[in-house]
Amino acid sequence: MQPAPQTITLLLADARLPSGGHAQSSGVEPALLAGMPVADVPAFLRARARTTGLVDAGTAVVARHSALDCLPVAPIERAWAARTPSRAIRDASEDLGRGLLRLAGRFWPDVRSSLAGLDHSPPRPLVLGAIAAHAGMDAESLVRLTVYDDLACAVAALLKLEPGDPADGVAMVLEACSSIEPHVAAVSTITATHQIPAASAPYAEAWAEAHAVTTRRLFRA
Amino acid sequence: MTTTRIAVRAGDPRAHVDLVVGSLAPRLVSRTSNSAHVAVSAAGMLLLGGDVVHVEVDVGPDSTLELEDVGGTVAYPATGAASRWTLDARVGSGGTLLWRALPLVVAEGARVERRTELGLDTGARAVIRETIVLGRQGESGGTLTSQVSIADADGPVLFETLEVDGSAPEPGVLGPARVLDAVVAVGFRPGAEPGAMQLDQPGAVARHLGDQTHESRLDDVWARWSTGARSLGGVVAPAPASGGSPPREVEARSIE
Repeated sequence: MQPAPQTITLLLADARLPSGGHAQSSGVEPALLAGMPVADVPAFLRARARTTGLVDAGTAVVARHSALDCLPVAPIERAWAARTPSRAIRDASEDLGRGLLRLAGRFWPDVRSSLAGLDHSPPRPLVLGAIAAHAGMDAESLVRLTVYDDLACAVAALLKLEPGDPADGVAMVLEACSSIEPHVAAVSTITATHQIPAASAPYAEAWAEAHAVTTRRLFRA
Repeated sequence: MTTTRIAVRAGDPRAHVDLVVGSLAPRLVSRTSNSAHVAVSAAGMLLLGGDVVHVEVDVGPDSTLELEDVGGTVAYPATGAASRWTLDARVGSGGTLLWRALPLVVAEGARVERRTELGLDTGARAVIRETIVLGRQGESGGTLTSQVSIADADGPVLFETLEVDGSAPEPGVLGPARVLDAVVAVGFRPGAEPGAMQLDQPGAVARHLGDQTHESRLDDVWARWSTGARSLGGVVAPAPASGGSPPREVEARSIE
C-alpha cells in the first residue's frame, strides 16, 4: 500500500520531520540580529512568502514537472541559483535539500535518479518537487507546502529567539500563507524555468550574508 | 519610441562605433582600436508617464565599451500609463561592457517598469552600476518594477525582479531604505568585497541600502571591479593625440 499524497504533504509539512528544518530560521534570525524590530516580523514573513517563497515554490513546480517527464534537473537548479544571489541563502537551502533527500531516498528511490546530474546537493525546492512527482502530490499542494514549510520554520525559530505567545506565531504563518493565495494557481501551472518567479528581497539577502559570518547565532540561516 | 543604439566593434586603426540617438543621446568621448568610451545623456525631457525608452547596446568580440551617464534620471508622477525603460545589451565573445549609470529617481506618483537584459557570449564580461532612489527629497517615492536578466551562453547568471512601492515599504525588501545602489559584475569572479554576494555562476553583486546616495561606498567597488574587468579585456592604451583628428560627434549615424 502506498501512503496517500495528502499524507505525504502532511508529513513534509510536519516540523518533527527529521530533515534538519529545526536548524533554520528562514531569515528571521538574520533579520533580528541586523536590528529589524520584532514588530516587523509579520510583514517580513509576508514579504518572504512573496519573494523567496514564490521563487522556491515555482522552482519546486518545475522540478516536479521535469521529474514526471524525466527531463534533466540541472537547468532548473541553475535557474533557481540565478534567482538566489546570496550564497548564504543557497547554502541554507542545500542543507535542507540534503536532509530531505536523505529521508526521501529511503521511501522513493526514484527521487535520487530524478535529481541526478548535479555537481552538489540539490536545494530544498528541487527535492520537494521530485518528491511531489514520485509521491503523487499535485502542483497546488506543492506550492502551498513549499511556502508553508519555510514560514513554519521561521515562526518556530522566532519563539526561541523572542519567546511570545505561540498562537501569535500561528496567526503570522496563516496570514503570510494566505497572502500568496492569489498567486497559487498561476505558479502551480508553470512548466519552464523562465516562468519561475524572481522577486528579490535585497535587505533579507544582505542580512543572510552578514549572519553567515557571525558567531552570535543559534540557527544556520 | 525611438531606439537608442550604441555599438562598438574592434577595428584597425580605430574601433568602429555606431551611435543612434533615440530618447538618449550617446556621444563618443574616446576610442582605441578595441575600445570606446561613450557618454550618454537624455535627448529630451525624461521620464514622463507613458514614456518608452529603449536602449540597445552591442559590444563586439574582444571589444570594450565603457558607458557613462551624464545626468541621472527622474521619473515624474504619471497620471496615466507607466513609463518603461528597457535595455537590451549583448557582449560578444571576449568583450567587456562597463556601464556606470547614475541614479534613477522614482518620484512620488511615478510608475516605472524597467527591464535590463544582458547576454554574454563565451568569455565576455560586464560590470554595471545601477542606483535606484525612491522619491525626491522628502517624498516616499512611486512604484518600480525592475527586472534584471543576465545570461551567458549556457543559461541564466542573475535573474531578479525588484518590486517596490514607496508608499508601502516591506521589511526584508527595501524596508525603510530610499536608496538601492548596486554594482553587478558578471562573466568573471571580481575581487572580494565585504558583504558582496558571490553568485553561483562567475559574478558578484555589491549593494548599498540606505537613505542617501552619498553614503554609498560603492564608488570604490565600481572602480576596483571595472579595473579588474578592463584588465581581463586587454584594452589597448589610447594612441597619442598628435596628428590624429579628434572623434566627431555625430547623431544617428556611424563613425567609421
